[in-house]
Amino acid sequence: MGNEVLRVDAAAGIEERAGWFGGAAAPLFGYSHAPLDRPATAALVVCPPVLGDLAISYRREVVLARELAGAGVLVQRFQYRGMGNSLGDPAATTFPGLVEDACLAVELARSLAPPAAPLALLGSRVGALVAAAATRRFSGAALALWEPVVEGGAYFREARRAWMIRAMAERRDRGRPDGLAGELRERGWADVAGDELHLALYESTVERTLDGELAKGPRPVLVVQPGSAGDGALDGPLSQALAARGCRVEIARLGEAEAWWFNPTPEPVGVAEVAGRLSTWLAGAARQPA
Amino acid sequence: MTGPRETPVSVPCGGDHVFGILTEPAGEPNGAVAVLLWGGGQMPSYGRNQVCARLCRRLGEAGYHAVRADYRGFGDSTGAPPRLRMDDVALEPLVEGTLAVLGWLARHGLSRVVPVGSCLGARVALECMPSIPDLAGLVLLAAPAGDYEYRRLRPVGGPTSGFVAQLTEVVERRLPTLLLYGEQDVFYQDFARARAARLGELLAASSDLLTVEVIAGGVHADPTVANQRAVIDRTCDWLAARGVS
Repeated sequence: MGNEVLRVDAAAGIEERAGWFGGAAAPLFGYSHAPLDRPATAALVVCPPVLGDLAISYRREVVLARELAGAGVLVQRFQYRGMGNSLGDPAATTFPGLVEDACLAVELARSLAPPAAPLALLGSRVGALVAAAATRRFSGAALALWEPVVEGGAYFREARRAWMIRAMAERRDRGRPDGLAGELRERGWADVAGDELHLALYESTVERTLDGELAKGPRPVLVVQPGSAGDGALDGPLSQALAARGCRVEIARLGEAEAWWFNPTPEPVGVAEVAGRLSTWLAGAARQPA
Repeated sequence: MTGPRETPVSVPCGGDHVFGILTEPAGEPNGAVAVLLWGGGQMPSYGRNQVCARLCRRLGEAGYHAVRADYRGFGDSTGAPPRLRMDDVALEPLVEGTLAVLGWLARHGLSRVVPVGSCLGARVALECMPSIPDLAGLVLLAAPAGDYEYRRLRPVGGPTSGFVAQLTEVVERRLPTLLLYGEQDVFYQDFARARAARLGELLAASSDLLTVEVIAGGVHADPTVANQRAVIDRTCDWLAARGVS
């Protein structure tokens, strides 16, 4: 990474590097969390969510990365083009662009981990769609999904509803009656709970489903879903789709459900438990490649 | 270097590290560093919809150095998040982290400071003020005039005496200061109430230093995209108009 800072935490047995990587046109900002003074046993690339979920998921991904690095896993976090600290024009960001960014992060992680270290991608919320699409380019890569969004269209409808609820509570204008699509058509972007959603990202994401993005080949898949959340799509159609591809699927009911679109919890709960499960799963994926 | 003119930094603070990003000026430096101190909403330091990253980059284009950092326990900083309250004791962990960043900046030749504080960050800026010898001015966005516990006590209320005392010090030090509110901000109600009393006298007597602006809608918490842009524009325009550097 360029222009980076290194932090060594001897007590936790980890080192962290933060800096820019990727092309000069739109450098991406990323964080590598690695075990200190020992080779990584696996490499995990975290594909974050977008819009309001990004802020809510952020700290739990930081805590998760530190926990996993302490357990011997190299974790690469990154921010998509036009988001976070990364550069790039948000109006030109598309779903394929997010996937491209994830692939750049994978290449960086591979350059930092031992060649034999197994590779996995973890997608959180919409990041699950990105991670699923990115695994197509890395045969045998394991896939972990954390509270995954299974349909782009449903996700945007949920986003719009949350924004309207907040606008009502704050006695603000609730937006156009024809909703998100009308606003996007009219001016090319929409305000979704204080985040800009641009037409290019919306149009390139709205029809995508997790089923459609999943690679054809078999691979180990772990789905992490809060114990309190009931989601038939995970237990039913998605599991069936994964099984049809010959994937070994584990569903872990762990952690607590976040109030997506609203306020984040001050310190994420249950992340150590998720890290423990991921660490065990990665070790298993390494022993038994799909 | 593959990145922009921005440098990630990790500043030791007690047993923790404060993570931040320093933006360098695009052209001739004007000598001042803007220190962004955002609220307690657990947002990473780039801010919702990149509002802080965008503000830092705009300030960089205007000749400022600018730094955005995560409080301890938030974003990429280490540590556990403190309990968030608006009184000086509870703000201490946030103030300590901010002073650690200011110390790092001073060691790198950046000691002339313009704090840009939003909500709880505005109070952190005011708490830090006695420890900053070379202040160029302040920008206070949706600054709470009263003391409350974050998201736990009634939304409006609490003593304003601490806030008035701090603004009195601002005036005594002859510091140009922008106070920007949204008319729908819950903290604006407190500000308006305080303004009807002792704060109003101070503002009237110091209008050459203290600029109060109120825009439609909200500035506090997660404002609309339009108001995020307004905050960036108003901050940059006011700094330029007042020649704060």
